Amino acid sequence: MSVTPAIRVRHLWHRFGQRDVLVDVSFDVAPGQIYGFIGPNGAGKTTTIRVMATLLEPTAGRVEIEGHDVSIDPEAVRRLVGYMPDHAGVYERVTVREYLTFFAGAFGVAASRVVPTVVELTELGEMQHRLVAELSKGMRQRLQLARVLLHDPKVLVLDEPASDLDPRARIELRDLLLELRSLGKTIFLSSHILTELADICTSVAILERGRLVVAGPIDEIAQRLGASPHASALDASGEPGLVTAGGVSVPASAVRRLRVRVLGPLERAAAALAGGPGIVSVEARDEWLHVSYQGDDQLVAAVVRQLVAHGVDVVGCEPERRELERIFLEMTQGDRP
Amino acid sequence: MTPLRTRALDALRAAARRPNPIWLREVTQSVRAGRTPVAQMLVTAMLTLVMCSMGGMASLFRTPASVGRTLYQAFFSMAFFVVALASPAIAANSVVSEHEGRTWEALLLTGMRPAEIARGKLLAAATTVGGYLAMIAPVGALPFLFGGVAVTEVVVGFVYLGAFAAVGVTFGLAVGSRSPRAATAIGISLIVSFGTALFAFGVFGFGLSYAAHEAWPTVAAGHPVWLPTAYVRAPFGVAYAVYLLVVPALCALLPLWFFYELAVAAMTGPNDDRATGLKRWLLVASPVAAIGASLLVLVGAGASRFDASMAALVAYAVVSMLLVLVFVGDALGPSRRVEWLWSRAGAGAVARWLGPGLPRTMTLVLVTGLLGIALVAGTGVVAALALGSSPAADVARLVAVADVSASFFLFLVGLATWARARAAAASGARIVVVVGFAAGTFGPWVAAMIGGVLRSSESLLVIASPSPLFVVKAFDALAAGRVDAAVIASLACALGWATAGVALFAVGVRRTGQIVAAHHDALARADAQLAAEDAAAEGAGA
Repeated sequence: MSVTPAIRVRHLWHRFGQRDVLVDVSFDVAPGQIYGFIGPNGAGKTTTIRVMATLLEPTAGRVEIEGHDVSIDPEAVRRLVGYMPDHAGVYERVTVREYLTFFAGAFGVAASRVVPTVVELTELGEMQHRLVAELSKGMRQRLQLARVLLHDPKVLVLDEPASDLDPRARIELRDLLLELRSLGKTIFLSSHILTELADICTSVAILERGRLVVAGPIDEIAQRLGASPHASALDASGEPGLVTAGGVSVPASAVRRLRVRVLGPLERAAAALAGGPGIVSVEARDEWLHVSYQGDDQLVAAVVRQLVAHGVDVVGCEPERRELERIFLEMTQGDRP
Repeated sequence: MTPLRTRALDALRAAARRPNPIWLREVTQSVRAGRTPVAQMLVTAMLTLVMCSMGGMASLFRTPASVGRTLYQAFFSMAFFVVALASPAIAANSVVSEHEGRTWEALLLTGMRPAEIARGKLLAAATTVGGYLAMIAPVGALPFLFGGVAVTEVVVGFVYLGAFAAVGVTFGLAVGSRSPRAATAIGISLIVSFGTALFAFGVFGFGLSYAAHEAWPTVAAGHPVWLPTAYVRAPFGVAYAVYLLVVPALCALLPLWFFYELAVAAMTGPNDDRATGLKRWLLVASPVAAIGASLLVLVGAGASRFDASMAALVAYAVVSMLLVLVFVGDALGPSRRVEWLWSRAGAGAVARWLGPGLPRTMTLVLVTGLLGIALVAGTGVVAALALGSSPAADVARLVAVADVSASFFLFLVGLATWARARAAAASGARIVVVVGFAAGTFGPWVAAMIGGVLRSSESLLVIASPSPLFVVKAFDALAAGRVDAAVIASLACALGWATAGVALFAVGVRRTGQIVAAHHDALARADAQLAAEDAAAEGAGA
């Protein structure tokens, strides 16, 4: 039996006046995912999100959160969703704790139980007796996140959560979102800043001029796209491809990329991997090893084992996230006619 | 114990156990702002200064008791205006600040119902206004110290201030919930409340004080704050019960309830049930107001009874016409969400009938309005026949006015139904109704004036007969028992308005039914498409 998607958007249309803001947008978000919603300003991201949050009625189509139709049962959806809008307002003349206590009361949950938990999770403990008016933008954003966590929603819908934040606050927010995912939350967040999403999202949907351009796991999209900056050959089908160290031509769609952080000379580590089974190319730059390979997660494990066997200290390993920028640039038209 | 009483007690217990969070937060913010106590102190200081100056000057020439009565009138007059102006503005600002501060959506997403939000806002605004009243209370007790004023008069005066504040706060809430900006909301509430307060002070204060003096000579004429005095000095009887208990209670409770429902409806989403609260109010308020008006007519004395009948009839008809503008905003039919909620709750026929849906809503407006007009007019006729000095003339005039009012009201309901069924939004239908009202009421007179007929020939005034106001021209003939051109024209036009109203209503209802059916068809087609997609996806997965 298939798992019910946490968010299901089907043939969503929305019209403001005579202008179609959303045109037949469909995608699913699986439970427990961090799902990025990408698009330039004015693409329709916020409209989609507001429909999900029950703040806007769709002109046509259906949006379901955990199986509940947002148009028919918004009360159930509101219990399941924590929505943090872009540039949300706050009550300034109350303290952080009073603010959270108020919203706990409004949500109908016991403030004495949930407020300390949420304060601890969002690390607002030291700020809890300060007036909201005195908080920095980063702290206010954190407070907003604390607010939407009060009723323990299964799905978090965050609209541009890191806009206006300084680098430190962005990193803290990213870590917090990763922690929330580990707690089983499904997180749907929009942004037009790709690096913001690249670090945490496993899947994305790209929206442009109200139309969905592509949606799905980043790796799958990258594979479907095929062409890569490293493409240097054409395979038998004429598809752009890569040539391995052994001279074997590999279709680009089958190539995946990861980067590995190691201690010690990068060249030595690159030499340890070069020419190995499934390895298409190894490049040492920007203090990382960039590895193109053909295979699955077993091969990633083998790469790490190979490095360790050669005495290389591996600090970390993650999928190559510049994929997202490439996907975005290739899938969207920007201002092109 | 009746279920209603049980429910009321349960609600009170729940409120005590879990106070409205909005109320608590607003009070906290208000106290922390520091602005509210300063404003309260300023108002108190100003009132104290004015009262002391007046008291000081008056005590040079008058007896203490007389000074006390003067200060009493001055204090409660000033306090009335302070409350009448401040209450709506405070409440309106309280609601709009959520929109301007971009906190409204966060509030909605907590799952709090609009009614709960409205009650929190009401309580918060009422607490602020209550703070003002508490601050000025010692100043209000000054007249009592001079003498000439009973303590009950002071207490009743404050009770009335509280009632004005309650109505003002709910009015402000209704304005605030429909305004996008604080400046607009405060501006509208100040302008309307100033006009209304001035009118109420002049007509119901000064004006009615003479009528009150006539009914109860111990109540001084020309004193605008006569109601609290009447409670103490008027002898208890039927007139006392009607004028001082029933009518004031209705005058406070019906608008208060109306503005509250209006605010809740405005805070409710377009696909939710915005209609039930307002329709429930109409279902209760319309007969209650008609009965209240009828009581006024029956209790009225002598020659003033006919005037009271006519005033009650015209006021009732005008308010019914204004209500058309409110109820024309209802949705054409219940949304899918409302139907789903009805189905889940197992809603009965009455609950569904009171829910959204233009034909049912306008039918309710029509039926309650016509019955109310009939009741008020009928009571006037009975009173004229039983107690009037010239029963035949009074009855003829009352029946003519009731006929014309009911016909024009019927036309407006029909026009509103037709316009709403054709307009994309309620605002368009409202404009059509206002234009229809203005054109029907004043247009014929303008046409008559343009033709210069007002000067050349009295008989040519019949051009203005489509106006419901033209019925006044037929009064003389009706009083004399004659049937002249004015009478015939007036009644013929009334028949015309009624016929047009019925026709427009029928067309509007039919078109509404077509739109709702087409909408249901579209939804069913979309459902079928999605179901087919699901089946195809499942087939592919298998």
